[in-house]
Amino acid sequence: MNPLKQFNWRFTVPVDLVLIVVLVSRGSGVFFSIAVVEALMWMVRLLWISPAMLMYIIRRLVQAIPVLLAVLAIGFALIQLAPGDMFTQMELSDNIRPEQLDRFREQFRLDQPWYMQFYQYVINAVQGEFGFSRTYRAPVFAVVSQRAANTILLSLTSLAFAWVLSIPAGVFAATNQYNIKDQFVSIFAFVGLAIPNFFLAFLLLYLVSSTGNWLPLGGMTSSGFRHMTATQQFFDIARHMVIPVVVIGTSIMATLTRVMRGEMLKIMNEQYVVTARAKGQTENKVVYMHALRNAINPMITILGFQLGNVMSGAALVEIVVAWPGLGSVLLEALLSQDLYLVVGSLIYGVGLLVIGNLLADIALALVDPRVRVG
Amino acid sequence: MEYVLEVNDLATYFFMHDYIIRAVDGVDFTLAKGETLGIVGESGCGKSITSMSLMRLIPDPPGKIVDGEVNLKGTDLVKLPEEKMRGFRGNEISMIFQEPMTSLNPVYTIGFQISEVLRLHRDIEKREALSEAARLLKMVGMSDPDQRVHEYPFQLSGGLRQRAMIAIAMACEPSVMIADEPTTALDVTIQAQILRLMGELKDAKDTSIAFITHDLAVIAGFTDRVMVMYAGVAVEDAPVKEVFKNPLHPYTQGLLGSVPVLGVGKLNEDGTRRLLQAIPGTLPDARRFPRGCRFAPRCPHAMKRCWEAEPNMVEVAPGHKVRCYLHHEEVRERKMRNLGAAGRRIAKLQEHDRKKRESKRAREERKESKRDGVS
Amino acid sequence: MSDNTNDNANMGGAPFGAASDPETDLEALTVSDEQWDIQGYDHGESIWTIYVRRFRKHTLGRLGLAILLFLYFAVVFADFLSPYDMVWANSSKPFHPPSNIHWFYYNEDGSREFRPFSYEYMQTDIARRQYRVIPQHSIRAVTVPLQPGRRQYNWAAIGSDPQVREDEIVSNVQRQYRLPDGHEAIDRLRERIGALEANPEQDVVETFVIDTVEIDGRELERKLHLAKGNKNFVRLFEQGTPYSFLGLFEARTRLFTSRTSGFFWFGADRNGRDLFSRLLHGGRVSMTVGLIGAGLTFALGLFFGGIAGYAGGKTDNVIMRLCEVIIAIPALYLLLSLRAAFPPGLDSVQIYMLIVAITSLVAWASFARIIRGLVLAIRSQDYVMSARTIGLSHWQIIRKHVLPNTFSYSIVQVTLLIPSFILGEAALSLLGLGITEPQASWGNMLSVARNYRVVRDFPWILWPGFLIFLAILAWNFFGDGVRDAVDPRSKH
Ligand SMILES: Nc1ncnc2c1ncn2[C@@H]1O[C@H](COP(=O)(O)OP(=O)(O)OP(=O)(O)O)[C@@H](O)[C@H]1O
Ligand code: SF4
Ligand SMILES: [Mg+2]
Repeated sequence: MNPLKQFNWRFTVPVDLVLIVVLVSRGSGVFFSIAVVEALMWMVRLLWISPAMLMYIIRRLVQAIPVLLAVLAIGFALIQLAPGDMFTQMELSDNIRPEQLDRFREQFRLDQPWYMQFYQYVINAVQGEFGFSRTYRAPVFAVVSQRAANTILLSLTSLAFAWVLSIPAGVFAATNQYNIKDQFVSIFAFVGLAIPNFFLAFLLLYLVSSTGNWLPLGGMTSSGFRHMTATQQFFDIARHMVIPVVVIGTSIMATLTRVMRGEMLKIMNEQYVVTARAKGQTENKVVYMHALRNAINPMITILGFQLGNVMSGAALVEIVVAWPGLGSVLLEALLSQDLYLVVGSLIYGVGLLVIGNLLADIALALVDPRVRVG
Repeated sequence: MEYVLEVNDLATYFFMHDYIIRAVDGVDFTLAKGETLGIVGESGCGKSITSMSLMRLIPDPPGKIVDGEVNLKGTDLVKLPEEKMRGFRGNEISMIFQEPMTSLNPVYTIGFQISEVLRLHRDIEKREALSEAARLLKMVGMSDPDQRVHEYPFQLSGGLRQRAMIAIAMACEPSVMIADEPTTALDVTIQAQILRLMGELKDAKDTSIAFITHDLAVIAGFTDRVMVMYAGVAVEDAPVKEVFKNPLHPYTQGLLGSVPVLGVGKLNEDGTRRLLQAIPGTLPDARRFPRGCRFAPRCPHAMKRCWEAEPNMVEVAPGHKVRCYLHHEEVRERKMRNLGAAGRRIAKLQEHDRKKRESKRAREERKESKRDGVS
Repeated sequence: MSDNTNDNANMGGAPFGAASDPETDLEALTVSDEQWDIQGYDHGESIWTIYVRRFRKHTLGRLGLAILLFLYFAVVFADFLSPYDMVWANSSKPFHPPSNIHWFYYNEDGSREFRPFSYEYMQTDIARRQYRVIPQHSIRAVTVPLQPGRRQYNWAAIGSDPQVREDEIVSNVQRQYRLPDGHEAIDRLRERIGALEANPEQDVVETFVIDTVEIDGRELERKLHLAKGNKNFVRLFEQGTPYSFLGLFEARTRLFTSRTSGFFWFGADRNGRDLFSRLLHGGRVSMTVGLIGAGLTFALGLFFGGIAGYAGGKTDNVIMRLCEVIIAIPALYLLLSLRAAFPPGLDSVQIYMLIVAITSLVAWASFARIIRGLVLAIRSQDYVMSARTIGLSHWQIIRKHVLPNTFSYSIVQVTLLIPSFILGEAALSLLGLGITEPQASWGNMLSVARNYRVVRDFPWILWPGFLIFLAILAWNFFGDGVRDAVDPRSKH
């Protein structure tokens, strides 16, 4: 009936390749091109696979717009509140070529009334222009996106770490309810929830530094990083990530484990679990195939709520272990009164969070047929 | 008579940390091939726990089957190791639950959930199982079964979900199917449809059904025999007509509103409730039952001995068992003696009544068997 | 378990309606207190009594409360409980390690006496900050500050020649008090030191009065403590450096301290300040920020959430969009950016207010959303409708119906929020954006730990982190207890 149904969406894959090649040849970065093209093409493919899901994603995207605008407004207000415009300061202190300064003035319409400036600010922001960083002598966007990649790397690894450990821990606690193993997991969760990230980081740093520095104690790369082979580089970064990932991961894990345990306890009492047993299913499959599969949905919902916390936690830990991410650049900018950089990283952070939430929503739709189909 | 299922003296307790709940404490019944047994009793009297015990699905801890045997075609399920038992569940003995809304897993398709049981007990391929699932859905009366197998439970109405549950329960053509209030959560018209469907399937596959319900109308219309439960024990077990015509246990009498009206089956829900209200008081606490007859606190006929020791189940007429001192032989006799001449007269009358009733029943049975023979 | 028996009682009763003959079935009808509790019935007691009774049964909640009471007691009476002031420092003893307390003192004749003391240390390696005990023959002088907040000075003469020791002490005292040559006190001091050296006892502490001065119309004695030996005796209710007790009156008595200073129970920080004293004083900031912040958040959330829920329409829309925006920003990013809007260089009280304001500004949004939901639910309830029809004003309805019904729930929510305020303060101060030196807070005391070498060599500076952890843990326990007491059905 639906003509689109006749068409197999798998035939669209070559289009991706073509688009990526075109973008790359026109000078975009490889990762950037892949991300943009894939995001776009999957939206198109959803037309075939699940129109309901497409609508759902579009609705979420539209809902995010006012939030982003409001954050831009807050950032703009912060810049306006500060005395003078940044470029006057730059003129005084730094040796930037005057032409360059003028270009920025022009770009931000600093000679026009504030609403025109705001309009221009939004337009620039959409194109990825957040002004010029005084301390880095580079456009804010360039500085921030480089750092943001590190933050994403750290946050995602921590999330993965937390998930991989908290799901079995939660299931384990729930299936051993009220006995000593359960108590152990609960105590761990309580402690993990209460221990401040920075304190845990200090403790780990102490542990490692007093037992012979067997892990790097800060930063993201060793000094000889440039001269390493790709595998060496990979392991170098991995080693640097151990402490921050354990720290951020622990706090996420604490919440997730509690949620997981509670959900599993609830679900193990559901009627459909009994149904599965009544079919003659093995207890393992009852737990992992029927119960766990249902506990994943609330876990993803919680993940959406948690992303903000993860980013906050990551920011603080970044600062403590000198991981060059968004959090540490924000603090640097703050201490050196580099307002454009402050606002730039704020907005970038919010942007990441919005995208993260969107991805969590999509993941929820993927695992929960009630969202996907209905 | 060939029995598919024989339950003897089944007892299931819950061991809480400072007391024991005797949820089921002495239930025996038999189920012949193709027979439907109704199990009635007020809420909390242990019906569901009885059925879960048959499936060996009692949550352990705290629950445990402490005594009795469940003989399914010669195998004692109570003593079966867990892996063997798994081979029986869903295959030889299956179950339908009250809440169609929650008894299907929300994240898997109907087709998957039906083929799951098939693949567990039959040696078939995934794809084959799915087409088999579609066939089963068609059998339980769903339209468009090839489409339905790909749908999720939340896309189906309550009645359809219950049909899907029946499809799961019937998938392996079990000898015994337990239905725990399968129609309670459905509205009346759907109820009737589901009952009809179950009746048809039962006849087609010759399945024996244990049917738990609160609805006496359903009992009257759907079952062959009735077991009445009270506070964890079976108190009366008799052919359905017998129960309605001549209920012997005071609790059963109370349940039916003391009046053995044949037409009780026609009473609607309101009617049943009015009748039920005739029994004062509530179920005793399962933690501490009275020492003697469990019904004694509420029984209008309670005697001294009722408070002292629990009565046994006695067979007062062929196929009619009751657990009440009123029907123990010696009590009857003593009563008669005490009543003297009047007593003897009454006894005569009663004997007369009984004979009349029996011959009437025999007549009816003949008539019925004739009708059955014709149809 | 109680849930099950409770179900049972309900189930049993349902089909037969109300029991008509209670005599026959008293047992089944009797419901324990606990069951009544769960069902929310009360026996004529107020709802608060019930909450308190339920809370008492919550072990972790009680533990949390006990820890909190202890912590708050400690910070309120910090002046009295701590051996020194918050700003008291011995600049010659940076990162002095935690003092070993020796409980028994051995007299010359070998007899043992309960007289706790710790040894006096001196730095041997300034670069690596290593310490050793000073020799037994040393003579020390410790000044007695005249007023709260004044510095205390401290000299130890460790030379092996008694004359050298005497000269060293005298010249230091003379320089410190600007005594002219030939001042009568100098002679007296020399005499006293001589007597001290001649004293057969090994460890002696004496007080020496230099002279009397007039400050603010008060006659005050300028005094020194002279000590022979290398021990600092720690005594209960000892006279220590002067402090102003909660700003009310001046006092010198401290729960325990050493007159000759040099006693660092938890070690010293980078500036030679006593970590234990600073922990107690710093706790004032960290432990109150949570309470005040929660109070402010409570007010903001109740106000905006209440208005949004009650007024509905456009107001609701505007407020809720605002909340969404705030929630959409990662908290720490928002915290830092808001901090950027204020100049550095504020004084400590201003910064304290600023921290409270910023953290509340970040936190109120999610709380307001919850309140709005509650109010919406209550508003549509029959009794509010009927209150409106009998002509109660909006304010009366809010006060009489809406607020009481949201109150207990919002108290629970706010309690659960307190840890995040404690964390927020700690994070800002840790990063140098909050409470600044010399004022102490657990956060800024930890900021030295950002250098891992410091942590490695002087791990005791991590104490404030442990206390933050303890405070948060206690609040979490307490919050859990309160939630379970107020709303027993919501099991996590
Ligand atoms: N998991 C359990 N733990 C402890 N006691 C239980 C448990 N499940 C059931 N019981 C107890 O067993 C008794 C019998 O319960 P059961 O569910 O069999 O009643 P029922 O006859 O099926 O009632 P209904 O008609 O309401 O379904 C009840 O008194 C109940 O308190
Ligand atoms: S045994 Fe006694 S108490 Fe029990 S039902 Fe019969 S008469 Fe009533
Ligand atoms: Mg039941």
